[in-house]
Amino acid sequence: MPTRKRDHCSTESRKEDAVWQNALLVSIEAVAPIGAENSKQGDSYNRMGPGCSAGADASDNQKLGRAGKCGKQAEQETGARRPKCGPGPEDVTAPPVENVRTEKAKGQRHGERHAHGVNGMPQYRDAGFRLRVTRSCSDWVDKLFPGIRFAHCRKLLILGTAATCLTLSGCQGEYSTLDPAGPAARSIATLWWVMLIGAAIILLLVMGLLAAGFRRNKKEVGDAAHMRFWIVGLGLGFSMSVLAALLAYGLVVGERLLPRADADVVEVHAQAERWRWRFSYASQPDFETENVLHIPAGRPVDVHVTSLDVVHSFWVPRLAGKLDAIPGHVNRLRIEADQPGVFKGLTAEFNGEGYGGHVFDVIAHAPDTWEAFLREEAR
Amino acid sequence: MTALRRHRALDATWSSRPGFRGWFSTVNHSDLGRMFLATSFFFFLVGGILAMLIRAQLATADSAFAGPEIYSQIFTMHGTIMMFLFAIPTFEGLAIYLLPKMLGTRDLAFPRLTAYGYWCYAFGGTMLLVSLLLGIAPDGGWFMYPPLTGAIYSPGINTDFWLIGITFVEISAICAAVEFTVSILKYRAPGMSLDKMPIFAWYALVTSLMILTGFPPLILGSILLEVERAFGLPFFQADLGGDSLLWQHLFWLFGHPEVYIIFLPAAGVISTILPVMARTTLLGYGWIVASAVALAFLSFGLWVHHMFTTGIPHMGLAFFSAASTLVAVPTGVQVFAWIGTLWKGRPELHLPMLHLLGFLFTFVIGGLTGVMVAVVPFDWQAHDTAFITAHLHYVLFGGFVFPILAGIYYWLPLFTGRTRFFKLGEMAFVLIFLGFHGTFLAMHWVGLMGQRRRIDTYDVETGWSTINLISSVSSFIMAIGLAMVLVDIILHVYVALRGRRDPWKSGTLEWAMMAPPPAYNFASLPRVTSRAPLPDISGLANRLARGEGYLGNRPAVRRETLAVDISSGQPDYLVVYPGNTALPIVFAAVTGLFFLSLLIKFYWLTPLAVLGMMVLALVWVWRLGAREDSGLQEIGHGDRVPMAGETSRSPGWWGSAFLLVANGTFFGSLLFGYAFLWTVAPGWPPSQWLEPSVAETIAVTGGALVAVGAMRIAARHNRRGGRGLSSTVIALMGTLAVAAAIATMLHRMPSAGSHAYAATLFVLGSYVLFHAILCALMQANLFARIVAGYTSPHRRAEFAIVALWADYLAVIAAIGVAAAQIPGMLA
Repeated sequence: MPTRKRDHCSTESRKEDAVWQNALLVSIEAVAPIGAENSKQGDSYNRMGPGCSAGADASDNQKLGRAGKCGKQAEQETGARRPKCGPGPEDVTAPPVENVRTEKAKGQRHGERHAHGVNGMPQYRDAGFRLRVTRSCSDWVDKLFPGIRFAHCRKLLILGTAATCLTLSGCQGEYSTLDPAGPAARSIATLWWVMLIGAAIILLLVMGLLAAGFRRNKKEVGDAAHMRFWIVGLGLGFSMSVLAALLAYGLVVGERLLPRADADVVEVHAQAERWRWRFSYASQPDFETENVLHIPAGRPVDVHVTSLDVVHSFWVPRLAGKLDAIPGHVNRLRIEADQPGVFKGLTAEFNGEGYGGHVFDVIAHAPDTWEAFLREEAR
Repeated sequence: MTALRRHRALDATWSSRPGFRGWFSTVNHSDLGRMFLATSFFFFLVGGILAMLIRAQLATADSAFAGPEIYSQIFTMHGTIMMFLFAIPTFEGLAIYLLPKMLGTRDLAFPRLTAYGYWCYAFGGTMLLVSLLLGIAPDGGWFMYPPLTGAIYSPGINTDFWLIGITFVEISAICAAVEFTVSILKYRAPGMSLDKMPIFAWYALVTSLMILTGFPPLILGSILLEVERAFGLPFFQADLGGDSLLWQHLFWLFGHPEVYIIFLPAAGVISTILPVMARTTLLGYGWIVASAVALAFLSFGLWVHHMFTTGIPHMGLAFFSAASTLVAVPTGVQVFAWIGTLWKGRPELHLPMLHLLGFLFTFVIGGLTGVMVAVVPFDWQAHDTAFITAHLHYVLFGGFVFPILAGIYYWLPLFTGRTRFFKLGEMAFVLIFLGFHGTFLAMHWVGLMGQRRRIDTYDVETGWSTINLISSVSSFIMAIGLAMVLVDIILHVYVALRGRRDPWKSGTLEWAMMAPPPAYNFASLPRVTSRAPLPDISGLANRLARGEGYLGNRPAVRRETLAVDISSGQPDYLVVYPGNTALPIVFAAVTGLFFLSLLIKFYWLTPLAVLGMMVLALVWVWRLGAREDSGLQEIGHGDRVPMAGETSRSPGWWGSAFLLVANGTFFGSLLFGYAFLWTVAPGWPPSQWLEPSVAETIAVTGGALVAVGAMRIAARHNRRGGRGLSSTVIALMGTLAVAAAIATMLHRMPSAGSHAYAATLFVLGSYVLFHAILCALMQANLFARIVAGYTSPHRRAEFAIVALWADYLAVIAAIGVAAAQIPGMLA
């Protein structure tokens, strides 16, 4: 896509700032609590053991440290962990036009992150969140409609997507399937956005046809013509072609998410019990962790899920879909985290009184911390 | 005879006893339809209050409104009540009330069965209500997955209330389904061929057939789980060769068709009302019937889409995903046909039409999200989150409640004979519509944000608080709207002005009678020549009241109506209905005693209750029939037809045939369970097989074949002027041989508690044994009837019925004994 268009777009989006401001204020409120949760998470990340903190990525540590001081590490943390849905913290401090350009140069991104990291903390929340939304929406629009060249179309689409995001307090969240942090969750999130847009178009079409049925000056047409148009044309032809396309798309995505043999795969075992999870690691057979699953970031992980008592379900919304833990059966789920970080896991099948609190954490390690973790645990 | 005199004479014969005592002995479909609807709306109220409690709980983060024990009872009962005690009974009530009127006849096929079904529903519903009041209601979620609901993890009585109460209630669904099927196929106005049936009847027919094939898997599942809980037969325990997935399969084998069982009647209401509101005829009648049938077939092929996350291989999922998206095609055809109908006509925005528009908007969204969750990878994320809750409410509230509200406002003038006076309904619609979308549109989003269904609280850090608050506030707006509908209806019933007949200028026969309708519906039955008889025959209602149709000149001393040929609608035979009787309520009470004895584990009471039911069943059938031949009857217009008992395909035969469809599905589900456990469950093969026995195999198959042959010979003897006594006795002997051989097999098989194999075998054997005993009782009863003079070469209907059951016994006995003995032979 030509850069010129992008610039144009971002200028447009800047003009819209004022319009969005009010809506934003509301949405920010909803984001703030996530920040609070993140700081807790950061702590547990630091606490989680010698292997981890020793090997933690220096830059991460730096960030965490600073964030701790100003009590606002959330945004950075979020930025670092969420390469897809939100921009890094550097974007939010710089003027909007630059942001978009920065994002273009993906290669520079990591290098620049810390340069901009924590400056201007007070004002960036508003601007940052807005831009994050604008940017992620513009990202999506680019991805979904790569052919769109007209600024106004783009603007409309961005506005539409952004409005949806904003009014519903965004798609970010530690449990959000729309804030993916791994390839599986990401392709499913893309699937969702495609389906949402498709569904919105179909809904508009059908409602438009319905409204047009109330016109006063309708042409008299015979029953046969009506049948051809409504039943054969729309009822059969239209629904079948849309559904066939969607089905094919869904199958392709599903096939891609299957656990395929790969030399790089890490094997872990998850055993559910009311109301805890026990995780063991194929390379360290004697060792177990409870309610915390350690995985290496950037590598596919096969989780072998089973249950000791009732039916449970293993689900890390930001990494992948869920898979049931069924007594007497072992199911295999492929998960992968793009970046090191802590991800929330949930049990997603009602299992009695403790269901609400039946959660776990997944800690994705950078390669060296992962090695350290394994060494540490091997001892 | 004047119209008024005729009315008085018919009314004296047909009406139920005056006052509230009439409720307990009425068998009239209008009474029972109203009772069904009133009860089901009472349960809607209860379920609605539970929904408000759920929304109160989730309105804010870290809610301390209800603890998890109480909260799980609330959401379990909300789902259970809405599905089993509201949606299905509302369809039953509406169809019981409307079908005979629309079909141009005087009552349903089996009036006493209607009443029995109602009382089973009322008693079973009461049972569940009591559990709710006592705080010991089911708490495992409305789909009751074991092992959570097994004896180990749910030791209390809560789950038993669900399993036993719901099975009890389902009796009413099965009764209603048998009855609707026979009524629609056989009880119509003369001349109403299948292609001239009102569209609602088509939908009701398809729905009934779906109930007959959809409910048995759940009944089987409930029985198996209850037997496991009470007697320790391990069907769902992985360590003893069982598998909890079996429950999921059986449940969703019912559960998915259930969705269409709820939607199709509503679609029938829409297809009836929409053309009237648009002052035109329905576009694509044939296409709509075809798509309803297609929906019914497809809906049985996609239960696995509720189990996409259970680890079934992806290619298997692909098949069910394809089926699940395919099911959107017939739904799409219907939706577009409805919109096309609006284009064809001149739609008017009356209150029912507003609800229909509410339906279209809501249901299209529900359908679109339905297609989304049919896509496997997306379902992996959305499954068991609030997204699913939102989707299913779009489909069920959109696809059922809006159309039913439309239907209620459409038929209120018929129910009460009044016109709507206050304009509360419009206001209520706005509140319901806005409240509904506010509640559930937001819920989609919070589901994608990771909120699981059925959680009792959530932290404020999750970021779900705002959305949940919006949902909760909107849900109360919706509740206010629904309360206003209730007030509107009560005001309408008691204070509105008398209205004129057929206010909507509709074409179907239910408007060709006075309003509110008399107990006998039509003083004489119309001859139908088109799908909309009212505009075609001028002054039809008055002409029928004057006795110008069929049966107009018969003395009104018995409750009589006509049965017709299934496809052509030509008069087939004359039916005489039983009058008011308390037998149904007594029978239902004794049935309730049976279930209660199992529930509170008073097992000494169970055989007494069974004995009571046997005696009552004999009384039930003994009262029918005649001891003398009646010959051909004059029915008017120069036609003469025989009495129902003097044919070989009586209503009882048709009823048995469709009951056996349900029964066969039950048996098929049992075989499916056997095969499923064998191939999928861990811990197979079992350590010990049943020792094969040639003698048992021969006794079972031989005995069953003898019974089949002897019943044929008995029927032939009877036709030729003999009585067929000796052949009936031989048939009885054959049946008893089957029973004895199966009993021996049950006695010597491995202990049923040791392994799922033995447990399944035990159920299989018990099923065959039960049918052998039932068949033997029927044959003994037939023998007594022959001796008492209830049969003759003309009065031959009962032979055909007993022969049908003997045939069924032969089939299940042969399959059952093979399934039991062959594994041992191979091993």
